[in-house]
Amino acid sequence: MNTDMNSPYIRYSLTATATGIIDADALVDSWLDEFLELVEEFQPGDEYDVLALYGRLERVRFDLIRATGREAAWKAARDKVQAQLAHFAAQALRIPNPEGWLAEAQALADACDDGLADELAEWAADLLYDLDDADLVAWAARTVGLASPDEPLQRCKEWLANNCDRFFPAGVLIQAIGQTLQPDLPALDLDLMATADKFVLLLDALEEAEADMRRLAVIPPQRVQPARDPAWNWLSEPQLMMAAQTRQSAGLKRYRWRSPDGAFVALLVANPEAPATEPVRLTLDTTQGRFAVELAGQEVCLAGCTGRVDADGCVDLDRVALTKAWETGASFKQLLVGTGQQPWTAVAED
Amino acid sequence: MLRVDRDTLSAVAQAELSVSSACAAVNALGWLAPWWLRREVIERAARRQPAYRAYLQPLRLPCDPGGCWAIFVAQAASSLLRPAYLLPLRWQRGADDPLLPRPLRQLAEQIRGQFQGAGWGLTLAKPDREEAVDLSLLQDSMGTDSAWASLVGGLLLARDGLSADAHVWASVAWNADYGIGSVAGVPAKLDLAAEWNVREIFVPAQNQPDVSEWQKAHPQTSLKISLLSPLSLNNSGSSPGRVLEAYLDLLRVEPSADQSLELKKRFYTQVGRSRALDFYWKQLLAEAVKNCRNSLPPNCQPTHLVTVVGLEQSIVAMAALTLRVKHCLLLCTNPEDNRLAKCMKQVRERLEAENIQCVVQQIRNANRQEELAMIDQAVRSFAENVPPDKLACDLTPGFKSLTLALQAIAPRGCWLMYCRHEQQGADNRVKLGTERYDCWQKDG
Repeated sequence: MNTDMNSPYIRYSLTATATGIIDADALVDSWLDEFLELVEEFQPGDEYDVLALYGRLERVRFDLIRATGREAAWKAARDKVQAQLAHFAAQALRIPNPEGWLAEAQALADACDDGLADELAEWAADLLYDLDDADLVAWAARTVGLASPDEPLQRCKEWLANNCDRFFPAGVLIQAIGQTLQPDLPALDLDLMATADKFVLLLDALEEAEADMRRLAVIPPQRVQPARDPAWNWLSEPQLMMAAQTRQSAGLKRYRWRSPDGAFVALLVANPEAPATEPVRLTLDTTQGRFAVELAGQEVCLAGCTGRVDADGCVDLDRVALTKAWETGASFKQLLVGTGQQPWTAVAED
Repeated sequence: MLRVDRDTLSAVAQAELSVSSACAAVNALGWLAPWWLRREVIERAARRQPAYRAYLQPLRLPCDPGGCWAIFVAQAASSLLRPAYLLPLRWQRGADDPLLPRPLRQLAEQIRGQFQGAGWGLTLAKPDREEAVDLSLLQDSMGTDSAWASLVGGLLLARDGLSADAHVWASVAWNADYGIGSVAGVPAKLDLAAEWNVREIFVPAQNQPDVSEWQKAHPQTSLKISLLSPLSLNNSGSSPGRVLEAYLDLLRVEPSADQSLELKKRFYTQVGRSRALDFYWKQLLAEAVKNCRNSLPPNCQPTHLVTVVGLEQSIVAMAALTLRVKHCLLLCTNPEDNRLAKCMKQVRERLEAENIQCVVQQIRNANRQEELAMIDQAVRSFAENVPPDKLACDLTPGFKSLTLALQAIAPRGCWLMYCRHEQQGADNRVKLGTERYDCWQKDG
């Protein structure tokens, strides 16, 4: 995903963000689906939802809109909404219920200590969306000169600012929404930027909480550093504290290298769930699919970890040594087979 | 990315089993290897590459909302390829996975049109860490038509947020005239279903000869095979969904107690009446009771309740639970009737778990005069020394003749109550959240 390292809305120190499990594209896609459907099948009473989604999509990074493949549809629907903005805003402003939101938020806070993780996540997400909707509708109203209910909305935002931790169950969603936001919102629309301030507050609080947990060794120290090859992250798989709901399924990792003369390929297949004591095996074959028996006895070196090719063209590498090599930022791009030879180069996944 | 085209598949299909060919096949198919290759092939490959032992673990079908699986058959006998094999798939918001075989994408497009699936895309259910496998070049090497019912099930459950039952399979094609179209390779598919301990598999009625033959060869099988009958779609007004009703009903997995009420409501409205009633009893009754309490007049606080046992346990138990009475008299016409006996047992257990003491009184089927006398005697004995305003009679459940008799003999000043609710669907099931009691005092 194309993201901006300098965006105030993206925090690479957060586990779910660092491990790349967040799918901001899918989120934008779903908002756009909903928006296009609402505009297409508009019924009186839909004004509030239309404006909330309109505002939310206005905040979204252009590359994510483009990635949906429906940029033209978005622009056409946006034009339709903008043509009726004043009318929509006048209707929509009747709907917000800040008192109801505050009561519901307090109920969430009360439930946080003994609630079920899934329920709390859904609850917190709903509340966050509700507040964001109200914020975006108020923004839309201001753009056409209507007075929005700023004071009650402000009380809701203050509550959120004082109770950020109550939204942690929706931590992955918060990070995902953050990833959708244009990093240069202030330059585009200061008033619209203000609607995204709540995410900055929540992201700050999330960062602080994860840092505290690391200090207390509840989660391992930060593992993602630029020097480390992200393709080998599994060597030190982080616990996904904020991503408890994310589907995790087992699978094997594969890496390939090709000999300089193109005659041989090496394939490393790793099971990240295997015990640390189990070596990682590299198999060497000819490009015709025969075992590379002619390489038997040669020394192989990957990221400083060495092994020797056996009679079937296999090499066992120590998993713990590989992990250490990765943690120190060693390169896995090249494989050395035999002494004084040209390195074999990694075959990139396409 | 691994590319699997017709040549790849042919090479795998034609190879003789050896460690070398097994490794080549697993390397070529990647994460699909355990789904498509025989177990002994994986075992051989794992001799050279121990990481492949992970592929010998039991496979899990994608059952979370949107997950589905299609069954295919090999085009010729092979030492390496399974005679029938599965492709795990998933519907999710977005576009179709370009790595899918084109015929499967075309089928997905057709299904989106049939079931208002705009915005949903079909993807390969690849384990997160695995390398992608490109199947887009497989044009005619897989008969994808038979995946129609499975894909429909996946899409409908994705839209409803419901999980699929891994033990309910289907191999059914679409036919524009008759809804159900025949499929190929049924015996091999039934073998695979039996291997997976599938509870029930749905196949087209046109394939009945294949099924009979397979059943003769497997007399001990516990696999239930259900035939879906073609319907004339032109005249009957049936929809594509209607022809799959029996399959879809079983495919939906009941939400667990900790899932959202919204999801539970969706499940209740989507499944067949029998499952819906059972689910209401297990997971929705408590919510209905909570709502019904709001409909009671403040001065309606009886301690004793008389009700008639009918065939729907929820409506029998609801009044006692709503009123939180201490004692409940259950009038029952014929305890030898298994359905009534089952209902009575369930109601009794539930009420007693809530510390409501139950008394059962049989009322013989007779004429009105005798029924009046029997009920009168039973109620007098049950409510002896109970002030009338502490007694309630529920006129909602049970046989009409008994509830009318109960209303007639109910003492003056006692509470009479009737549960109202809105109805929905073709079978007039309760519209959730609309349940409420009308309560009034007799001759009051």
